[in-house]
Amino acid sequence: MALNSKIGIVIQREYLTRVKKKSFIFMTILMPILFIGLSMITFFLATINEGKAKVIVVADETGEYFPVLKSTGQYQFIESKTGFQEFRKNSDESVYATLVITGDLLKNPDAITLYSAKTVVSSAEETITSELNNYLSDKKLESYNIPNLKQIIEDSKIQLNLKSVKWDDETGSETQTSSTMVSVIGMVFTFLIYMFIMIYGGIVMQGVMEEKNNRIVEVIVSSVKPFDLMMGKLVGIGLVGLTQFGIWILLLLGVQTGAFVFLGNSEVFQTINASLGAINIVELSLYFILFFIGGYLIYSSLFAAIGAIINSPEDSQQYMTPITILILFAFYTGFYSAQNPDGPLAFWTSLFPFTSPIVMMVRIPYGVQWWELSLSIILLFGSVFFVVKTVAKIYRVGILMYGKKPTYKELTKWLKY
Amino acid sequence: MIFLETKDVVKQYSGHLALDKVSVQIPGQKIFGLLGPNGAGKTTLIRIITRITAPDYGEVLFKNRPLAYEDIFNIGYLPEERGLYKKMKVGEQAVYLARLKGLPASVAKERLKKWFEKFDILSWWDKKLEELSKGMQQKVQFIITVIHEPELLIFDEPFSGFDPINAELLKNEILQLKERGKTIIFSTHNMASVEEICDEIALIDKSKVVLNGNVNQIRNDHKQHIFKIHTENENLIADEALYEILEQGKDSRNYVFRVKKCEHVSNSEFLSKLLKNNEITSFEEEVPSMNDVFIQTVNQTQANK
Repeated sequence: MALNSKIGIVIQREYLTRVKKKSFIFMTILMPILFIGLSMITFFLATINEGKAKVIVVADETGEYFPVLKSTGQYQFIESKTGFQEFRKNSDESVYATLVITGDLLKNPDAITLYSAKTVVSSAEETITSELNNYLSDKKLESYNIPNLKQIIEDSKIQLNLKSVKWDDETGSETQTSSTMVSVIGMVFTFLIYMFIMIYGGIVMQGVMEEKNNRIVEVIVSSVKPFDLMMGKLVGIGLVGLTQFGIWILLLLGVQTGAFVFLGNSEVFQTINASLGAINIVELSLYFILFFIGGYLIYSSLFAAIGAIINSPEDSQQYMTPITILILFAFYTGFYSAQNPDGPLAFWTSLFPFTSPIVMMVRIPYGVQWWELSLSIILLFGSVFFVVKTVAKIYRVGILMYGKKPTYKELTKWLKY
Repeated sequence: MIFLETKDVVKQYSGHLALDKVSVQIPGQKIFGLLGPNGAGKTTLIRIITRITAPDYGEVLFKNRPLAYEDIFNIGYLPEERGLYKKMKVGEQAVYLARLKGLPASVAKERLKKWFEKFDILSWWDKKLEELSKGMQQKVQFIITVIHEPELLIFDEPFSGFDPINAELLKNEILQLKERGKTIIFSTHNMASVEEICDEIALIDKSKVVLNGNVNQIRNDHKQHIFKIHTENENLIADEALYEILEQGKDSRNYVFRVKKCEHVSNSEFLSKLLKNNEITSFEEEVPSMNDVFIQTVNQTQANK
């Protein structure tokens, strides 16, 4: 009986039993809806907040400055008919803050104070100072008595219109990129790969633990080598992840086509489509698959080792913590790298195999040197090889060990069996 | 013919010796009982035979040649701790495990259906395992063990969890497997079942083989020279030097004596002397049960320590 067919049978079971589950189909469809729904709710809440303007009462003794303060969507300025002291006594909940101006601000810049029962948010201060500053600097300019000075200064300002263009040396093509779009896409992929590694790593751990606690493993290893069983499980569950990703890509393409049919002429759609066009989704997806395979194998084999070591889910924490910290570090580095995709932190963490799958996904949309990419991939898959080999040794001993959980010292002994 | 043999097998786990130069010979087409108290090393020996773990020293011969990886497809192993996938459908997982043992899917399905029918669980084929009673799960596990028709079968406590009716059914299946020429290793604590079905045994205690051989031979060797004698007389009249009365009593018709004969006197000599003076209605030597042999041997080895 050939070895490969054994792994094949295990893969088939691991894959089919999971894909056929109702919960898989449900989650695959629900997740994007949840994802989009949550971001829409956040967006919606943010707009609600802006819609309700805060009232700021202005007690302007000079009478000069109140007309200058223009109400914005966020802040509404109301002139105080009475004096400030009197107003304070009658103040009610609807008033957010009171602005008191006691003299000529050009001569005495301190003659302005903002009173409030609560600590004033910085955006209120910014709104007031920027509106007053514009007025005051115009007034100052007038005081020099040079004709058309304002016009001259206005002319001297040059409006730059910077476009970012990504060049391709080989094809000579130039594509216009939108840096916001690029960073959003990078973040989405980073988040996806992080989520996939965590979720599917957890599934691997549960699967191993189930077989160990059920004692079914004893029946299986009397006809399959432990390594084949482990690899079959890793590959089978990994394929479930790729299937889910594949379904999402198909859904995305479906939505895009649908949007094209219905909103093809709208301006918003044109803009989004134009910036999406600059990013090669197919190429990105291929890299995603490659880095997902590497990152998934490296982490899920560690999760498999934990599943083989422990006897109950409660024991998992001790071994999970170092791995979780590593993944979280990679995740935050990934987000940070979106701002500085070529910095030293991004560079080194995109080579280090335990962080590279997550960090590299942020950097790829910005464009990464080919040698960096290949080095990162070589390092990743080289490490996968070593990690899987080491883990297989722990796994082989662990799945047949019951009783107390082993210490790290005992684990190193297992490696030598 | 010796089907399987272990030679001086030693297995050390961190800190303790699980098997200490264990040599057993398992004859072909017989039922071999592997006995011993908990923690004696039986499971370790079985795991070495099934190649789940490797011995530190010694070797295992399978049909007179060293045990090879391919041989595990010729072994069916029912572990003491049973386990199957709880959430998976019964038929589906039976086919899966049969395929892992090298059967093509179609053959596996065909054979499984026959066995399921025989054990009256065919209607459960599409049910999840957790919906089955414990006894039914045990049946499924037994079927999976024998499905690939291996030459060597290893049953670790096969009767645990069965009601008497199903235990009988299982016992008959095991005996039928022997008739069909299979070699069977049977590990248990249940000594009554050993007497019923085992041909040969090995008793392992404290990592060592302390007793082995043919079951009847062993029981004979452990005879304590105790006899049960029924007479019509109230007293047993004979030379006092020949025996010692352990118990005496009366049943509905006769007087009953349980006596221990002196070792230097042969059975026929003893009987002929008794017959002279007593109206003997029955005379029977007590053969110790395997249970007695087990307890006696284990206690002895512990006393020797």
